[in-house]
Amino acid sequence: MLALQLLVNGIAVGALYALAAVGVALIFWTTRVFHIAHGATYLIAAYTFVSLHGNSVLLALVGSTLAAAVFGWGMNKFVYRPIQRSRESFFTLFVASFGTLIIVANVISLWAGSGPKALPPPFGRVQIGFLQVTWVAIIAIVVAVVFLLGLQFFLEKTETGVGLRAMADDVELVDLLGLNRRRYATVALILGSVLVVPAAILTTYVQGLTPQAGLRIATIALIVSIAGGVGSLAGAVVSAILLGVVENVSTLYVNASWGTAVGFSVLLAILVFRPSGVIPRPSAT
Amino acid sequence: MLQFTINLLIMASIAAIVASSLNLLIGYTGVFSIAHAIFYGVGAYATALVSLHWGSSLLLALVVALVSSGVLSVLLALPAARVTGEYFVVVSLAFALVASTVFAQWTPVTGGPAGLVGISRATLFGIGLNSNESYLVLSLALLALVTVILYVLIRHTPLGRSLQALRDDPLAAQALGKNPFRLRLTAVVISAALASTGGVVYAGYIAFVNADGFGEQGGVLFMAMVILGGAGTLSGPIIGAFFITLFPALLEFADLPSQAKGPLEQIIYGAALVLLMLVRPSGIAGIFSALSPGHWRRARAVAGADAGRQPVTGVPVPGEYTPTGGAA
Repeated sequence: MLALQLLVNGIAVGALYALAAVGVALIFWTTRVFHIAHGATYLIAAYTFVSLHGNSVLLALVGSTLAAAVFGWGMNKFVYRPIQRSRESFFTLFVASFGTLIIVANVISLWAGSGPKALPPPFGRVQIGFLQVTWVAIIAIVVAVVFLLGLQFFLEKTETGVGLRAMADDVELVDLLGLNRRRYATVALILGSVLVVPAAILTTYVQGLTPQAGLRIATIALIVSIAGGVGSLAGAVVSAILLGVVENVSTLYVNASWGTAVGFSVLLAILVFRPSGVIPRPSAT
Repeated sequence: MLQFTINLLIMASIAAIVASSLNLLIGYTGVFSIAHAIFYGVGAYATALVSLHWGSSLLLALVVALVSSGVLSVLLALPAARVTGEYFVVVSLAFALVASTVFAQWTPVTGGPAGLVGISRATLFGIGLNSNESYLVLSLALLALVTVILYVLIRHTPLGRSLQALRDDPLAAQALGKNPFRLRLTAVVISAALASTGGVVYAGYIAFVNADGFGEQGGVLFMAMVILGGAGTLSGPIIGAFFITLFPALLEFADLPSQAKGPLEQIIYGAALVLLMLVRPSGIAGIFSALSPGHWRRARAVAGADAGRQPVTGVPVPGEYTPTGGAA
């Protein structure tokens, strides 16, 4: 019974990881940047929501979405693109991204304090059979499914979406076809940043919020999207849910503080033994 | 004031030892690890355990630290067999997260969150290094030793040349019969072992060890030292380490509320990293060498090597799987 309960919790947590990870994956395909500043986007969205939500939840939603989108756009315009213009290595981009995360996390802890922030837990729990599931967990799963299906539809059916996928496969080909890869990079940064908003808000309801959450969530998003297989959205989602489930179910055997470490060890093992990812793209083999 | 300065110099030298070791990977092998604070931590914990159970011998602590750190680093190097370049950054980040959990939670050995207390100052050849001054000498001597080892290794051994060849052109190095995995493994083990010696000095000096500073945050700081100072130069990481350790000391004199100092320090590092990446990715050492015409050539070679790595990203090397899932 407990195992099943933990499984459901794990899926809910994993669904939120997946939302953070697909943003990172999308940005990596198109810009080849390890966007660890995604953690900064997460913090900006979550803290905006927390500080506005007393006035109106709708205002808070709009505010945090806008803030995330503007930050993603600005990252690309003022940090990534200037560095890429001078043809610097990926590590230069990564360090700049990391620097931005450090700045944002610490500006926030100056402004809002480094202590944890919490939102009042809404809605309570629901009994399904013998399972006790929080409404937040159900909402997390539903929201993740809706957003991921929406993203899938966008990538499959729209011209911009197809262009984004093409860039994951071969950037030079996109150039040759005369498509504007800078525009795709902008789209990916904004879209990826907006995708982290629901994850930021719902995770804050479940676990609370500290300035350190940014690095944690960005690390999770990065490793999950790499372990999933580059260019594979489904792989990122599967490994995100795997991490969430392992994290939760492992508490049957070990202390809860080991959860993330156990989950990461599993993902590391996957990277060692199956470096092309959980679900490698068939087109690229 | 003198003790304050000695304390800063010891901490800066310790940081420089770790950063220089890390530079063997980042600057000379092209392996981008941000897990190096872990090996620094292994050195510190090893010294603490030796001191608590077997006595205060410096040489014994050094041997235990070198061996345990070298052995543990094989775990980090394993993914480097197949995961290279940018992907390794993520692997090392995950490794750091797992290992720092072990530091903080493996209570029977590491003391858990409370850490280990009562570590004694080291003794060397029967002489107790009890004063702070003697630890300053020890840390500077160790820094000099590590630098010399790295200098000889990089400039005067076949291994050093092979590593740089692998960094600059993995494909060509492989074509010449170099085994990339074995080379990277060797570099990771040597680098981790050297970094642990910084932890040996730290644990004896502070007399207390817990998980703080040995996780991802610390790893990022060491990476920042290498990058800010200038990767791929022997002086770069030392400059970076002294800069990053001494600079916040200036904030001590500023009239600021104490809880604002930590974040402010971090904001300065972060801003320095971003600005430097935008303006001059070859680091502070690059600025100095640009000023002296004699070193201009070398600075350009370093920058060129950096740029030369660009096309490699995302392009899998034949025979070496990368998680791009690309044509292998």
